[in-house]
Amino acid sequence: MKDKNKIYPYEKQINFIRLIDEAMNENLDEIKKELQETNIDIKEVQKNLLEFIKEQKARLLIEEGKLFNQDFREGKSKNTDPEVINNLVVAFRKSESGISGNNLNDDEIKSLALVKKAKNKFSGTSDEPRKKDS
Amino acid sequence: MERKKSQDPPFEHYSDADKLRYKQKVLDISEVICSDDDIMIKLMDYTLKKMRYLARYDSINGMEAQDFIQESILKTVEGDRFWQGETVKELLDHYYHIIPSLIWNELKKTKLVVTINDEFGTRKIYSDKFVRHNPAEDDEKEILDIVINETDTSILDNLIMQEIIKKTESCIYNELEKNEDYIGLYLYEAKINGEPNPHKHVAKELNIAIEDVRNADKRLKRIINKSKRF
Repeated sequence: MKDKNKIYPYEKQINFIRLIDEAMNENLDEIKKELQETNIDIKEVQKNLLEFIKEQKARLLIEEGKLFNQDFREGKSKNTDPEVINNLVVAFRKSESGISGNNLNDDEIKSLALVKKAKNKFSGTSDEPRKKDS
Repeated sequence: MERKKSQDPPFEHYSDADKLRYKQKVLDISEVICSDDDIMIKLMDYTLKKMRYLARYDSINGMEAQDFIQESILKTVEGDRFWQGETVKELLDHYYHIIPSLIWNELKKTKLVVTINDEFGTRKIYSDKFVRHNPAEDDEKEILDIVINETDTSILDNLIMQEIIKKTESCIYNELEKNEDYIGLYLYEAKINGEPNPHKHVAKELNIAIEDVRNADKRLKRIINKSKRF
């Protein structure tokens, strides 16, 4: 006999959800018809949600830019050697204009590695494991 | 499909860079979900049914099914409804799981507007007490009382989901028992318990042909579709 007041663990709740989802697959045409009768245009809903996601991604880019800027400024304040900063700027500009590594001198290549490291930190391409803030 | 609660640090302990990566991942996978016609049909239907069950309306405080899906994306991106998964299926499960409690939260904001007339004139006051549009049935009272002051979102999600499971399961069990469909009953339990190969498991348990289990599966899906109004 099932205990009616028992709360299923998360995994079991998800099994239930998957069962519901699986059952809905067998009934898609009917569901589609019901939604149409409720005046719900799925294409319009998709369009609106994708637009929303696009906006969120744009916000994320701004957030990423701010953090990159902050990180760069922090790095710059730690290293006051004007030569290093100049190299960094030149290397960054060259890398942004798609100039290959062959055209950079040794110092610029080193600086470019620093820029790439900072970019990777916020662009999601880092292979480093997740770390806590503290 | 285990919830990796103990393995990963909570969202608030992520570094800024990790938070960005997490947000990007949620948005990328959400984009896949929202681009898929069939997934969206199912998600909209599910959300609408939950709204009708919890609020008996297709709109709550001006929010419609699409708005709740949008809110589920936003809350997940912002880490308010933290998700620890990697795949489209896992994120979709997560949305199915949190949408009922987002609807419930919105419903809690519904307040009774009372127009009073006193020495300060005629004015509107908003009662702090949540008032349902329709009186709750006796069997709904329990869950409403439990969650009214709940602040832990994951507990709230679980409680609301459990309420929906309880209602749906009751319909499924009644129907299976009424039809004396014991194969269906075994199969349902096997699936809920996460048996990796439920058809084979039930066929072995009941010593029957796998074809009988497949037929029971079709019957079970029909019953589930009838019962998922909750």
